[in-house]
Amino acid sequence: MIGRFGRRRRDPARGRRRTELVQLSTGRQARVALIGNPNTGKTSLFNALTGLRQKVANVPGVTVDLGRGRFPTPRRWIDLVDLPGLYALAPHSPDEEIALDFLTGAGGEPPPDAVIAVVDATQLERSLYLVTQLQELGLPLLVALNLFDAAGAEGKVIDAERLSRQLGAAVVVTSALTGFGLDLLPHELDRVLDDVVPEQPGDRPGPIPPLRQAARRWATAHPAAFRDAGPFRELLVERSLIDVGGALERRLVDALGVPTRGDLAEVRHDLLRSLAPRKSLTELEAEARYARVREALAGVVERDEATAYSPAARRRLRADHLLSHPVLGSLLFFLTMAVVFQSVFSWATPLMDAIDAATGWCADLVRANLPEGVLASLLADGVIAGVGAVVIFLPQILILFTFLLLLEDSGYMARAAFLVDRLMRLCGLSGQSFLPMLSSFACAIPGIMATRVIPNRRDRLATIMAAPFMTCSARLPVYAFLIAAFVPRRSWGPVNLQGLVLFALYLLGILGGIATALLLKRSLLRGPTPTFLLELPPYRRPDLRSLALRVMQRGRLFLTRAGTVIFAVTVVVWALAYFPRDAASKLAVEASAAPVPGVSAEAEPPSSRDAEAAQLAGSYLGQMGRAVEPLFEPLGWDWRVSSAVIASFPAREVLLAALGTIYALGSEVDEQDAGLIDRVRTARWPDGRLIFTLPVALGLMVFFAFCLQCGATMATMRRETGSWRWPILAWLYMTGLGYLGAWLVVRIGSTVG
Amino acid sequence: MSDPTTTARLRSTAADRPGPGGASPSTLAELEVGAKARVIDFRDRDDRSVQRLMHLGLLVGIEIEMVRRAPAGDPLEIRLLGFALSLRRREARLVLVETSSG
Ligand SMILES: Nc1nc2c(ncn2[C@@H]2O[C@H](COP(=O)(O)OP(=O)(O)OP(=O)(O)O)[C@@H](O)[C@H]2O)c(=O)[nH]1
Repeated sequence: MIGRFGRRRRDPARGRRRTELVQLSTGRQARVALIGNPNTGKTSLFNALTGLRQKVANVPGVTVDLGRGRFPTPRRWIDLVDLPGLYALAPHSPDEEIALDFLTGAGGEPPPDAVIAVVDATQLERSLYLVTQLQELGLPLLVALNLFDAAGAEGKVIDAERLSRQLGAAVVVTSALTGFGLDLLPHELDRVLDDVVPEQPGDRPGPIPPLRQAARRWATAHPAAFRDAGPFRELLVERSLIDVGGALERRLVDALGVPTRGDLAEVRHDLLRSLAPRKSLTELEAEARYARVREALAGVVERDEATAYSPAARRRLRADHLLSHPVLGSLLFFLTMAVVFQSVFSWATPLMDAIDAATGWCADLVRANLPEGVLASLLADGVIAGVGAVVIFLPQILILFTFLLLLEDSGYMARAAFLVDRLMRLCGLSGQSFLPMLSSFACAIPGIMATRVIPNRRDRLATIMAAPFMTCSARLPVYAFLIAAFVPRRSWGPVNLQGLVLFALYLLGILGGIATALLLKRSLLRGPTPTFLLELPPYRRPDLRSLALRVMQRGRLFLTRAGTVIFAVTVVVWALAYFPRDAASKLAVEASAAPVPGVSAEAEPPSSRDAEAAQLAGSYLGQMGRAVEPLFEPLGWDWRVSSAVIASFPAREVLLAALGTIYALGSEVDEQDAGLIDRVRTARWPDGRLIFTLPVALGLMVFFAFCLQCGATMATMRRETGSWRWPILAWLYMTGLGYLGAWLVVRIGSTVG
Repeated sequence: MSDPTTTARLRSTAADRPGPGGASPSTLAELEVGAKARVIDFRDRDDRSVQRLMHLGLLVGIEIEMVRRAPAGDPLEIRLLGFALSLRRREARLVLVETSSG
């Protein structure tokens, strides 16, 4: 005891440690990044560690949707960031660039205080490759041997302590699925963070020593290269030399001029001439690192043959054969997709009805308890009805995302991409565009964000431009309403006309997307056929907890959107339709003199509703609608339809709310509302002709199928492509196509009928 | 960057079909489903896909198994180092292999 006291007094470092400890317990923090190969369980680990303490990053303009959350260790709070997966510090896609930039502090944030390298325990050789690269970054590093349970199930017995010694890095064994090792990880992370001798980037020798020297010389000769990268400069130069034609080389050329390319090539050539004339630097690096990994793995893994050929392992193999079978696999694939869409539409109905009833109830409550006037109208007709009309899609979105994430986590999505690659190539894309396209059926925004996994820029742009054509869940209610109102309820056996029209509209969207991608790949985005290198992960049981968290996150994002953008739009639409107020009295006089145009003659005697309609005709929205009426006249739309369509440009789901307001029912409507359906059906031109003939209604649907009426999608496109050029092009192109399509339908319809 | 003359030689000799006598190397693209082979060389080491394959551990001396082909015969699924990878025929043609006899 005495000895220990004495030592502590003698050792000033210890004293400092102690005060530090006090600081720690009073809220010290550290930023830590999770990184590893795709499918090693980073996201699952992230969710298991942070649980509900996650931030939903949805700030436009910043690098978003990196999962961010926090969790406590005994000594500090950890701000954890979940980075996109990558195989090597040689980025092949924008996603991988984001990960590398984050580590080296080039992404607008300082480099992390430590890194957790998530390693697949069933794939040690391949996933430790990245770890050897990470070790050279000089950041405190903790290796998490994840999927430990899966390795055990495969009959692998891993000596983690030995691995830690031979690798020269702290290792902790985890399973995000069972929770094994998650209690130990925070302690180990503290140990790594408190390590007294921090390393500098480049302290460890590189894979090819002469290359490191060449990189150093080059960095000294070119002080402008990676100027802001601080201690990582030499390392980044080294990586640019290795990765021929890669993202870092591109950045150097952008910063230092075109001759840099030849300059780098010369350095490479000289190096290789003395090292290995027939090889490449990437090859030398990979060989050196894999040799190093094998050394580190010597005696680490023992195979327990009995488990290796267990019934479970054989079952997985059989499932794999079945699901990837050329014929059966394709059949199963179509069956899966059919089930997904069927359930999205049928399972969501009861929930949607419930939400609808709830919004109606809220609006009634407001009307009953507030005096009639601006406030009551704003709340009931504007806020509650408008936002309610959007929140109603929440069940569909949740169901669709559950399916998509389930398919992705189980490993099926990669097989699906494998199956459809050839098909996608016919439209100039690759199997990797499949997931973004499929996600776009829920919403184009996650679809466009999912394109980050596509390495090829032209491919990625073509996919981004095609994605908004997919029938998203916001188009669905518009279709459902118009079909219920105007398509006859006829059926032949199990096939009914209304369903057929809906199906045709989905098909139309898909064809529009394919044609667009094809067109772009033949013109603006022409280039060589892209590659399709994709790991096909083994089938795994999805982690339901992680899945639930991510589905909830999607739901939250969606509601945030409903609460902000759509809320703002509905309030603006409401205000435009409500003011100026004195117009009501002016027009009410006219209304009593002559029947208000658009309201059918046999409707009930002039009521407060009709007065409201008259007020609307004189409102700002009415005036705007009239101003643009000539433009939409060829499509057969009157000012009401035109202004409703214009109001739905920021978000297409606003159409129903706007039509509702405009057709003088208040905006509290949904597709089941017979009142609105009847009003729209019987709406007439001043000369008594019906406005909505079948061709006009079909034309309106086609317009919605093509048109880019979604401000949030445009903002996402701008963020993902880096300029307004693409979203503006998309808007012009899609609106033009929508107009043209609607016009054609009306023309053909009136000639035929 | 590999030596230009070597690359040129490989380009001219290594046709897509196996050469006469089996002496000249064949490419990964021609491997039969279920067959195993060893990597002996690459055609274009600076190709982006080849670089990525190398990072994934596909290096000279590594054994590869052809697992299956997608319905239209493309892409291919191969196995190496205990994991499955899909690649297109175009990329597979850049990998020269020799079929292991055992
Ligand atoms: N058995 C088992 N499965 C796991 C474990 N960790 C993750 N998984 C599963 O592995 C799959 C992939 O996990 P993710 O968390 O999505 O992996 P990721 O590394 O984030 O993948 P990317 O986002 O594609 O880079 C999911 O199906 C998980 O449920 C684990 O420790 N044990």
